[in-house]
Amino acid sequence: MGYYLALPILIVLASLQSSVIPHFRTFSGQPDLVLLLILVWAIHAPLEEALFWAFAGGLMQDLLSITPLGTSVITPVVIIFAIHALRGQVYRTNLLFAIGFVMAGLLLKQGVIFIVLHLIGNGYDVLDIARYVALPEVFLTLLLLLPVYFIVRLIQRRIYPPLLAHETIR
Amino acid sequence: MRRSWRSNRLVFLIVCLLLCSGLMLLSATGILQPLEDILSVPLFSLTSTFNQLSLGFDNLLNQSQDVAVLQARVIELEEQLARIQGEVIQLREVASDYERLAALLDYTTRFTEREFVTADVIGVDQQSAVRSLIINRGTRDGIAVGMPVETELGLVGRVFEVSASSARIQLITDQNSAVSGRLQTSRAEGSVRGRGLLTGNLRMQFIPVDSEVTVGDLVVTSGLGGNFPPDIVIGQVTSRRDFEFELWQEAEVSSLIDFSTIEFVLVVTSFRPADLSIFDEAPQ
Repeated sequence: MGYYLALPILIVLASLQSSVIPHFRTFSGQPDLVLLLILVWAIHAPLEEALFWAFAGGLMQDLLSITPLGTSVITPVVIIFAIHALRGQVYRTNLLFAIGFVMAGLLLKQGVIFIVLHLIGNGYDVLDIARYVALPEVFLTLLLLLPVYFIVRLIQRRIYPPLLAHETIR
Repeated sequence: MRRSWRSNRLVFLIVCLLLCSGLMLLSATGILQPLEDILSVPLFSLTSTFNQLSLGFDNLLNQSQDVAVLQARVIELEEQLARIQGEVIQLREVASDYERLAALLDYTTRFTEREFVTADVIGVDQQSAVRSLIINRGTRDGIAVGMPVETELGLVGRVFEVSASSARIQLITDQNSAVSGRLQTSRAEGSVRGRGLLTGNLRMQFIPVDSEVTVGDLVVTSGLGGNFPPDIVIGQVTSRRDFEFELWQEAEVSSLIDFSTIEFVLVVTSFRPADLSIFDEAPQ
């Protein structure tokens, strides 16, 4: 079921990210709803399904950006593997766990994009990006984490069978 | 058992990263461009719809502004209009003098009628660091890479990527944008660079140190380099900085355009950037 939900939700979210969300920019950053949703979804989803969300969302973001196809997939893939590696070792997968991974994901994303843009000939000032883009983006995305987390948990509790939910929390 | 589970995950991660790298390589070399063009059509349509809705909502909010403020603004604009009409009459006189003198000297003006294609802005780049817009016109409408883009308030940027039905514009506010500019009063030249900010803040660099830079001066395109036609308004000088041991000075320039609320732009289709690559080749 999670696979079927991915495409419509991510298409709408990626489009909103390019059209409506820029109206809420603070300084020069804006919340990254697509990455936030992918990572929050991955916390309680099976690995393969989370990776499907990462590829679908990342590719849609790249289609709406100058970055080469695949750039925005790297960060969620790395973070999803980290989530799944740590999930078994953490007693309870809670909101703090989500905050840590979302922050790490946003910072890693900016690093990856900075390197890729440099490689394709678009140099940006790393300090300016950190000051005007990365920090406001982390702040604004974390503001949205709580509502997104609870909405995602609500959906996942409905679509995952209880046994699977128990297994994934572990 | 546990060991093999971990190594499998590692292999899985490496395969995923290799897949991403392969995609990036194919995309950066342009091999995936036709596929990207097809896949982006539904995304652009949806983005355009959302953009129209959000702009409509913005307009609705703006319409509910205080009527008294608007009335005061109308009076102010009427006064300005009366003053400008007087200036227009004077300028028409100057223009007719100019035409007459130019005809006497057999001097052909370099300004030709510009042809425009109007395009709706349907989205902005997903990456906050990149200042670019997506418009709903492409090669089918005669748009080509390098064409300048402007609004009635001045220069917006240039087309740097184009598909059949859409194009991406690099804004002059992008950190990678550099436009040859000229101060309208002193005619001093410099390079106007974007600062990557949301606001229209730009920086004009390499202005000769002996040139006069006045706050409020208009900065226009100089046409040097052949990337932009001359005399398109870039912005207005807001402050200047000089350096004790340098041969140039800098000016902060503010574009008159509010880049966060652009609804439509004009692509100058009659202008093609000059191909200067032949001069880059080493002499034989």
